[in-house]
Amino acid sequence: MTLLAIILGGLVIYLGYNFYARRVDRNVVQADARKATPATLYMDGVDFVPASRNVLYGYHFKSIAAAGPIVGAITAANIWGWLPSILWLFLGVMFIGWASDYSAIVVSVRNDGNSISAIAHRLIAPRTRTILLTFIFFYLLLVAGAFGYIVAGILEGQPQVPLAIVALMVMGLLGGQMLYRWRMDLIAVTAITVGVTLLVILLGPVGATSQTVTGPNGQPQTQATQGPVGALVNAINGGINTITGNQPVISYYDPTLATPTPGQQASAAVPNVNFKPSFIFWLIFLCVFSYLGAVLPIWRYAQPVNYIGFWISFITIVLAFLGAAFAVVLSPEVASFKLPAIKSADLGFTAVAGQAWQPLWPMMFVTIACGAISGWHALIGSVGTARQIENETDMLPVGGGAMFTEMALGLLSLLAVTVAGTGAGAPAFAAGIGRFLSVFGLPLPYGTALGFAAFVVIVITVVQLVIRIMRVTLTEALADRMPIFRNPHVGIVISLVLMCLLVLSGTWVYLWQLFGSSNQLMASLSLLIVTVWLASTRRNPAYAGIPCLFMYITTMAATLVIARNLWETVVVPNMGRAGAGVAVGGAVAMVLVSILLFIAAAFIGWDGWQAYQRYRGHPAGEQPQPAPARP
Amino acid sequence: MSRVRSLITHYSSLITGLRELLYGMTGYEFAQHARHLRAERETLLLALTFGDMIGLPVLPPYYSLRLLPYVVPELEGWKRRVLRERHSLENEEFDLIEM
Repeated sequence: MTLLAIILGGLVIYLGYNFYARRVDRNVVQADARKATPATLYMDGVDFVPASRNVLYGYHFKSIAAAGPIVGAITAANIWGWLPSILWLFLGVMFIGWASDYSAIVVSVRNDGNSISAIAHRLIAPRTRTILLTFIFFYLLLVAGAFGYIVAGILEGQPQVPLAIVALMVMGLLGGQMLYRWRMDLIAVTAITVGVTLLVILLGPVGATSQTVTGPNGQPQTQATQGPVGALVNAINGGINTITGNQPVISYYDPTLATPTPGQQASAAVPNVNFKPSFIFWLIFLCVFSYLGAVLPIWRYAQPVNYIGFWISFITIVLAFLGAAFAVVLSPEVASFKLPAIKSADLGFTAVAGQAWQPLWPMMFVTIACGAISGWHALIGSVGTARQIENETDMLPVGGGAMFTEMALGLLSLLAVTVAGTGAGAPAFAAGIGRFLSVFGLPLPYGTALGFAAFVVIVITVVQLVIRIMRVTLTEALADRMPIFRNPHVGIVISLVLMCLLVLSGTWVYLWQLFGSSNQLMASLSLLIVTVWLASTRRNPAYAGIPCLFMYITTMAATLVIARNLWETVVVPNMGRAGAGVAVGGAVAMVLVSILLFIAAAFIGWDGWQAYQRYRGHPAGEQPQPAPARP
Repeated sequence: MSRVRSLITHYSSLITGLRELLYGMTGYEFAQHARHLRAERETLLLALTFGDMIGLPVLPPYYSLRLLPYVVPELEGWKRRVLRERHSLENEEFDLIEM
């Protein structure tokens, strides 16, 4: 089955790229190799630098591919099953995803290398840029909250992982020193830092054993004993938890985690999230990690940490992909799907009062964001990549090609979770990666440890960079009115506090879906700008306009469903419960964010429609005219 | 013989492509960062010496003219760089964000 899915994925890429994307590139956009690009026209040796197509493809792919396609696919497979998830990955990237990424680059290249937000300001309305900045801030905040929740949970619950993250921190600092101060060769630095980090990751499971014993009710149970690394972390956790006598400090009911034992009904009366002091400890550890990333010069910490993280995840993912492809021959048991194709026959459309409502449409389309379509890619493409395009004919292989490749990453995550069968989220992903690696003879515990480490490394490097950018956004937005925000530490601390509040208020799936909504709204906005630009230059806007309409309506509907779910299943059941104040406060804040996103999107939609009507009647030529001033 | 040669050419271009791809995913980021670092210092130097070109008269024109022959190749790119409108996030290694 895994091989079949990979072949189908390859077919989607082949058909989508050759028979749809190329046609649009040739007939609608009319990429012209003779036209000068901003990289050659405005070459300044720094931002505007022509780069080879292959280099730029690798750079763009690395810039867009990380935790998003992995986490989204895992979450969706656990809610709706693997079949709808795989279909959305395939169809989403084929008809929408590539178009969004590619078009953002096209619009930027054809508009002097300006960013999407600058073009929106000029083409649609001045306030569109402000709204886009609002989206970016909430997007960053929600990413930090969602990823922070995952990382703190894994660091607390998987005792073999924290040492690997400490190794990553140390090697990151050392790597920066070796590269920029000692001026060592990049290959030597890579071999040392990546080699040591990999070794520490594989040290985690050493000495760990697991055996099956008969439990008190006669059922077989797996009894695991940790090795020295795991035992040390468990001892630290145990020591910290004695502060409260092993009692939780925050308890509440999260409907998205309701997984009662067979024969037992999930009930809002019983809290299923219990944060102990050890969780808080690892959350603070994450804050320290991110604080260093935000406050130190980029070359000293964030960049080398990111670089090492790339190699760890790259090696793991490539090997796992090969394992998934060869499993059918080498280990057929691994290749079979254990997760159901569809989780419930009604596809989640039946709403029950007081329970989470997860209808396939619109919720799956915001849960899987980056593997199918992502607004963030458009932003990156228009700011970074477009200014390095040497030739217009490179726009499709770089922008579209990288997005098709990212779908493959989402597909691998989906396959990993599908072959793992048991568990949910990151543990299932790690177990699946472990199974794929076991095809080549790597023992399952070591493969799983590598899967966990790769996952956490990807996520944690994103968190530190998000906090860094949040600090900049806060400074940009508030420093003129409140000079205290010129101090970088103030912005960082506020960003970290906001992240911690979101993490502790929990409701992981809603948090992720709200993040997906902000991301997909940015995608709709980017497609809207492309549509207006196409109309303004007398081109057929259908290939961007129809996906824009679909994503816009879907995401608007999703924000309303999320707000409803938060209110009915988190705020109401937890109201007045001791220790659940943070959860209720967080849920109310998330409802407000949903409403804010909805209103902001409505404004953008209205402005976009007006701009479209304006340009459809009077095309503005290649260089769009400024939007008329508002009264 | 020509068939063998075309095969060799084909594979060598494939290997070159793969090397470039790997470089794009790994070392290119460092090269880009090095370019930014260099540009920052260059901007400072040129602003001090040729600031009057962008409305910042710092150094008397006599000394600027003495230095002019040495910086002529850099001037065009420098002016484009410092006078360009920027996105607020551009100066913070925006391209490192991966989601």
